[in-house]
Amino acid sequence: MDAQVPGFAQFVAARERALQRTAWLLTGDWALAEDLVQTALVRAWPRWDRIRHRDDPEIYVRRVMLNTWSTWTRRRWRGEKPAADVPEHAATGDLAAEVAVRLAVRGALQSLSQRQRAVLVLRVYDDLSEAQVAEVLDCPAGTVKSTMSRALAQLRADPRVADLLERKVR
Amino acid sequence: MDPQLRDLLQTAVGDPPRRVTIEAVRRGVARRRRTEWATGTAAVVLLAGLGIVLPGHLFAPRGSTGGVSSSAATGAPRYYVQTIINQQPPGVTVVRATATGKVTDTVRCPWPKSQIVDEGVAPADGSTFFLACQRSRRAGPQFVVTGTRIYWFQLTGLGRIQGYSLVPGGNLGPVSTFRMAATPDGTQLAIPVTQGKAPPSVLVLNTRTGAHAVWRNIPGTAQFGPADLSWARHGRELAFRVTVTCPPGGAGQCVSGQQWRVLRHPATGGQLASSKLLVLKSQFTGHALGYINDSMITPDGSALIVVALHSPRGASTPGNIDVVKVDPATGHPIRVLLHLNTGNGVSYEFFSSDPSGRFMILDAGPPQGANPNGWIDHGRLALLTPANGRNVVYEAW
Repeated sequence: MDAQVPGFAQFVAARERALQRTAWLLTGDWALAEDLVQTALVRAWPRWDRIRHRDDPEIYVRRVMLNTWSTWTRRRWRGEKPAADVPEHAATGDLAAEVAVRLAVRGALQSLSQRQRAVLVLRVYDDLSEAQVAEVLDCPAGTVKSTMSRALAQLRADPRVADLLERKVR
Repeated sequence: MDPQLRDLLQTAVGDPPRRVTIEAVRRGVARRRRTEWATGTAAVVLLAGLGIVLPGHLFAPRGSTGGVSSSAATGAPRYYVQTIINQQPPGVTVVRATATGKVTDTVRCPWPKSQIVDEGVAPADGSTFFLACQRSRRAGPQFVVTGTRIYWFQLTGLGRIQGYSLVPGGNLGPVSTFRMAATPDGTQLAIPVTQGKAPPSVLVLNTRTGAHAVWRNIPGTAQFGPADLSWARHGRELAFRVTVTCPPGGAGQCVSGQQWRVLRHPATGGQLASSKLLVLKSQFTGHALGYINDSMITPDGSALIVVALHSPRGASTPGNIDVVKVDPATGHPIRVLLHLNTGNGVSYEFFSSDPSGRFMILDAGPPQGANPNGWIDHGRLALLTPANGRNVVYEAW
């Protein structure tokens, strides 16, 4: 096990933030996102020796993450939120505006079905190919394409997102 | 692949507040192995013991015995009580699960014809809450309080209310009250009370014996208007914010204005004027300057937490909200726990904390648009439900 740690530690250090961001888009909650990433990594660790020989170990970890999230959403109680000590530092910038965007995007994402949200986040945010998304979600590439199309249409029709996208264009 | 949408998602995501470290993953792996081992062992023991009569309570449903699991004490409280106005006052008070936002129960006053007092729910330990109910009658254009009673209730592991009990000594008579403060063990409750035109006082109720200790203003001396009651030194001292009005002509020792004071022996009762001065608002510096909307003392008494509203340079209306930890000895800020830039103006609902002082809830934001409602988690607001707290009047956990 210890011999596997260096490669795994490097992977965690390099990718945990990206994984957390994806997890936030799925869950809409940083505490849950952190929990989700940590759980996926805990599950991946024992198989790391096998995983690291794959072309892209991250695909496997994302798959574990998606499966874990899927299991959590089926459970009535999603487990505890991780502990937090007294905050150490203050946020900077225009937090109110940031929160407004976050609320709008989170609300719009939550209105999508679980699969639509997963496809959209992996495809748009993580920039995975259709084939890679299909591998993560264990479904045909055609399903990814059709799900993506429906998710995009629904998202663009959502006034909260449409308004923000319009402002970005301006 | 749709760069605009990707940009938008990136803007929304921001940065994770904490890092997932290899050490945390390692601990998770070890915990998982222990759990697997324990599960396997338990299965063996269960199979071996099938011939033995097992006590029935081993199979009682989880949470049926009441109380939130002790593991919850290490994270944010699992449930919070929320008063929300849907259509018109007085609104509805519910219990919500922190993780999911789901309503698990509704809080109701068990005293017929009474209503929950504004901000009248005080948490004790995450699963025990005190509830102030009052009856009133219309007298001309005003309502007159005809009675106030203090109840307590406990939440089960599933967030259900197990039933209400009148607290010993909880029949307070025709007094008005507002936000109360309970010690973490729930044995003492500090209640700000007013009756008719009499000056305000603080009632300390021993919830086991029902004993009352009253801290009063004495007519003709400096008058204290106590607010923001909070317990310090782990329930041994009671701190409060007060605006002191000195008597005409001025008494020699009287210092007027906003200040924080502490009662060393709250269970004895006496004069509010005999409380010890902690710090004057005029001593505050830096981030703690500005209009103080809310405050509390940390349970160990080592710091004050104040919610300060500031005006940006050159502006006449407040546009910043700072939650600041202040040294009670000097008034100097120790740490800024949260900074919110709200633009031109502030919409402020409330600030509250769990009895441990670790998990603080703030509902405040810009005058228009969403009012973020969440708990302060490493300099950010971890949103609660509803995320837009515009209609939320109060929350406690």
